[in-house]
Amino acid sequence: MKRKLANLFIASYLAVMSFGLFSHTMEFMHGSHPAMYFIIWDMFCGWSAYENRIHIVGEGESGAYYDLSQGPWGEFNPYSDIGRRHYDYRGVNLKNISDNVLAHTEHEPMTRIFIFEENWSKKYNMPDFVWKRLYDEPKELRSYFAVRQVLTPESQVAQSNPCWLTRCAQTQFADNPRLQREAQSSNPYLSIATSNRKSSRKTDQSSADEAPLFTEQQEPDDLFSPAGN
Amino acid sequence: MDMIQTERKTFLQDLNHFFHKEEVPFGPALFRMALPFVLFLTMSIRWQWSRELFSADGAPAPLAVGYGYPDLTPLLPGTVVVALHTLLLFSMICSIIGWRTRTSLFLTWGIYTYLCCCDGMSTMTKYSIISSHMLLLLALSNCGKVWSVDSWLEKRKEKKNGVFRSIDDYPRFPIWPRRLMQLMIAIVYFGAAITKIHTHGYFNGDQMHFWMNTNINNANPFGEWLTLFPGVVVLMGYIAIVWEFLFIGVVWTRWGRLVAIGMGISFHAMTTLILGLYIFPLVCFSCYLLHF
Repeated sequence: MKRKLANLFIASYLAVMSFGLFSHTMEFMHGSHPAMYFIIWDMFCGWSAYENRIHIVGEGESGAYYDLSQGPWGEFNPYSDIGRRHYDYRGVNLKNISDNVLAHTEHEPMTRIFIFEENWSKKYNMPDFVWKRLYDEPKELRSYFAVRQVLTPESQVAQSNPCWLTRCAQTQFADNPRLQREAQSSNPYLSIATSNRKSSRKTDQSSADEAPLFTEQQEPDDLFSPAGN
Repeated sequence: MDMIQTERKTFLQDLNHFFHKEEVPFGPALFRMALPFVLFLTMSIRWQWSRELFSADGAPAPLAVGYGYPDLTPLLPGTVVVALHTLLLFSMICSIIGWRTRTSLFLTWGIYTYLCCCDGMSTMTKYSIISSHMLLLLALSNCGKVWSVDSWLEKRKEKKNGVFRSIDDYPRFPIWPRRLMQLMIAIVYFGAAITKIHTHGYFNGDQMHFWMNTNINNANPFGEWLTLFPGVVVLMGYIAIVWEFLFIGVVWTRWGRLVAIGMGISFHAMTTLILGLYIFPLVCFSCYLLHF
């Protein structure tokens, strides 16, 4: 009996792991449920060419702005000297951070909360001696800022934009008629991607021009990667 | 003329031998000490942040939210979470020394997995998932029967009852939990290789180049210097993917194991040097103990 139970467990476990491999290889149901995270091994799902940082700013009724980025008890740096908020690449839990700061501090009533994204090219992270060997130009860091989300005082998402890299990709796509034609004529006639995701974000901003082109488009997974430390 | 008769085993008999051969669980015992120790390092630094990272009173980041299931993970009050976190650290220590081993490992597995699920932002990573699998399989194994407080207490009890065992008289158990753990890490490598194949820019070294140019893991000055040699990075990328694909096939023989584990140690040591990874390599080094 004990051996039969052991065999049953072995077979079940290996079947689940094999399904994970299949799902990952064929990209079939790989994002359909949190349980899939436990059986899919995508440790290297890509790093973008841009470094990304998150800033959370609250606008008070007086018009003053408050930094809500760091928690009320300081900021936890999980791996290096980079704060925890910067590891939320999809931006789905950032409102919890501002909620937490507001819930545990005294402050005037807020009118809006902004979540900004800061990006800069990773080449500016190079040490000077590497930079000098690769580039003739001086090393002058340029950051790009974009509003990722705007929250109401009740932390409801009033506006949500795709991440900056996705916006760049969308802009390039919208500016390129050849790409648009190819995208429309190259649609696969058989789709096996199944996802039962329910949207957990509200958005009230949609571009009428872009809507037909980007319907159902998810942020690409390979722009960022989960922290694989 | 004498004939030598050899017994021909069927596939099922081979499989049965592979999973149910009996052995003294030295490998799992070593792994039982190593893995909780590594995880203890990561979870102890989070203890003072427990309320903020994992509880409903702070700023949790449930993993399930990213998949569109915002209410799947039950979030507990801060006090309960701090108590659970403290119990987790205690059960990790118990697992290391092997006191009430099975219970300790089940507690470690359950609480660790739950806390990780509550903080998908900075605690849940792929090494957490590997560890979660391993803790469950360790709890099902008999890793606490040797080199543990439990085994010492058991021997003392037997001695009181007049039963004396020699020092090398260790109990033997079916090998299947260790086999599943070995297969698990091999499948992880195989999956990682598939990921690399899916990843645009892996084979020309671009992805590695970008990864080496960030401190998102930890500082990695050697990796930054290595960006001056893109050819080396590409070559290392190819070697890594071949090794990951072959690991599951070659690790079962003596020489294959030496090569696969040797390359694994080099690979993970390099991820520390050029990418700034620390915990992931330590978890994988712990897993290698299962192969000896």
